[in-house]
Amino acid sequence: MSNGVENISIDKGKDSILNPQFLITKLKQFADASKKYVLAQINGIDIFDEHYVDKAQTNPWYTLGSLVWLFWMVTIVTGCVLMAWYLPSIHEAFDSVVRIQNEIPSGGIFRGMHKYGADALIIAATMRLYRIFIAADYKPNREINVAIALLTLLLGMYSGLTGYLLIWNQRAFWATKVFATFPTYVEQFYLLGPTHVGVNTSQILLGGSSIGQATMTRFYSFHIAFSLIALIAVELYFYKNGLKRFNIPWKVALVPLFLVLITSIILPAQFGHRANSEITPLPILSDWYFLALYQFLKYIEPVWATALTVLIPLTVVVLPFFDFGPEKHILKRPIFLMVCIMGLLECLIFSFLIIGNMANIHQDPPIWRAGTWILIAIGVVWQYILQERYKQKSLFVIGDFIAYVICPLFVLYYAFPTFINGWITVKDQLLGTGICMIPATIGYGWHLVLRKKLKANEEGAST
Amino acid sequence: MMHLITRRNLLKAILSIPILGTLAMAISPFMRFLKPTIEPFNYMQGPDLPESLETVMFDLSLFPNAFDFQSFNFIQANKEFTALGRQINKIPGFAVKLPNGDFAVYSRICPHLGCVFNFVKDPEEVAKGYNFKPDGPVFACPCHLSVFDIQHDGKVVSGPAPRPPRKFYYKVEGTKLVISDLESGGVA
Repeated sequence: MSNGVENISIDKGKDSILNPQFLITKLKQFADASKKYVLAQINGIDIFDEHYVDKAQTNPWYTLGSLVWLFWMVTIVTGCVLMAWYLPSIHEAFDSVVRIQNEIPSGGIFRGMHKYGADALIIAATMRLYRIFIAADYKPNREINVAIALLTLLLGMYSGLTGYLLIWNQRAFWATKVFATFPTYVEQFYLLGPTHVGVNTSQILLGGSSIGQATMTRFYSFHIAFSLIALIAVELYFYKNGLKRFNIPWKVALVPLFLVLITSIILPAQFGHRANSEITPLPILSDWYFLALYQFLKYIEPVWATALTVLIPLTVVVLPFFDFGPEKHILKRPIFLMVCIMGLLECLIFSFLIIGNMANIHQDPPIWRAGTWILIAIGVVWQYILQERYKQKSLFVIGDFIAYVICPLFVLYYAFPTFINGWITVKDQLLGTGICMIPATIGYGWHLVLRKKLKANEEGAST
Repeated sequence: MMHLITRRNLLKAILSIPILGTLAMAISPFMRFLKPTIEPFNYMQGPDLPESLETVMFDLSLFPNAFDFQSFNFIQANKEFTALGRQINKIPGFAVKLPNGDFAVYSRICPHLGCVFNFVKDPEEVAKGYNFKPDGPVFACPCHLSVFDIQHDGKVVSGPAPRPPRKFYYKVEGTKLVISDLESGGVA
């Protein structure tokens, strides 16, 4: 049969790849298709769920984008009020914050609303990212929305980090030290080492070689710039499209506002102890949304920890591009369900462990690595079961993709760092990797058996 | 479809070269705005090094037995990008007398992520708090549980630290232990 096709193409000479006319037509088609795809992505951009105005009337999960916008506005307005009293100087910042909190009439409420509004923003942005994943709002051709939702969350988190230093308390000082030492580990990568990009990044962030007045001034500038530049960009976007920013009725929107207000009255925002560069607080903590990463730092080589803080967001951005097929129901996309559960569980468990200052750096890593593997393996096996039941071709592609791409990637992410960890003994390393390999073996074994069975079925059908 | 390369497109492409070049040239002044210690067009310049201001001296009679220790603050000036131009930092350090009569003089700033570590004499306490049982007294960082063996040049025996803590340069002059300078590197 294949011979016949070749003969026809030679006879006609038109569809040959060597024919320039045909090549140009194909290129043109490809260019048109890409343009259409990019336009679809751009038209589908959804910053605050503005495309779900109708859906938000019946489904409260689609109001999360509007809540992000609402809490963002709360932090901007209260931030402007706080600027009237705050002093960005390392000698006076802490006193000015204490004064705002305790002495200025209603200063504590404004500060509380600024802090709890920011916390609520991060909770809403995280929930929105999960909703996009679980409801597959990125289908079809809207994968860029995941990147935008993640960017919203990351900007919120970095605003929190830069804002926290402005209090100049112990927790903020040491969190900043950890955050600023992070980039220096880039120097240990083979090609990036001689460029000194890590140390230069760190010194640009700190405004010098150590944390001081320049750090505070720069963080103050970043803290405002993250909101100001984003606000201008967002407003230009909405001006151009004429879309509605807010899909909640104003009377209903008063409820979350009221909740933030009540929280700031009954639970005044803390200010801790004045920063002291000679005493490290124990346990060393940061804002709650960075806690899981802090526990992660105990378990993993610093070079890998630095790489993973970049790789984890990248994975989130890339993942939806591999969710093939039109299927939107979460129970029929089990790998994505398992990734969501894994992320949430690891975040929660690590946060509780660091708050309790519990860590056994020799025994814990094999356990959580194996846990990650088991969850992903459950997803893979579940995916194959679904595939056999519904005979979906697209699922088959995902299964193969998981088996041959994702699993080796997980080996890279989790097993390989175990081996280069100098402080874990060989016995621990072998045990840990062995435990990690059990679910992988089950996954691969199942995959091979199923493949064989399907092939046999196909052959049986054809004869 | 055959008019992809028109005169207009070609001229546009050629014109983009000087514009992109100008933008590339603007990176250097912007980098120098953020970090004024960078030389013009030297994007790969290394870190700014601190300057040591005073030496620290201890009388040897303060160390009668093995593992007697003194903590001290070493004063350094770091470049800072403000109007003042520099910041005075106190680098906490430990001087420990070793059983062989030598000294272990180290900066207390953990090479992992910059916490200040402790000198723990009791191996049982280290085993309980830091997941590792050493042979003798060690430096142990409470943040991420790194343990450094002071009797073997500060070797990392447990935990995520990538290298030993930074050493102070010291010498014994008569009855004094004189600590003059600090090995460079790291964030203070």
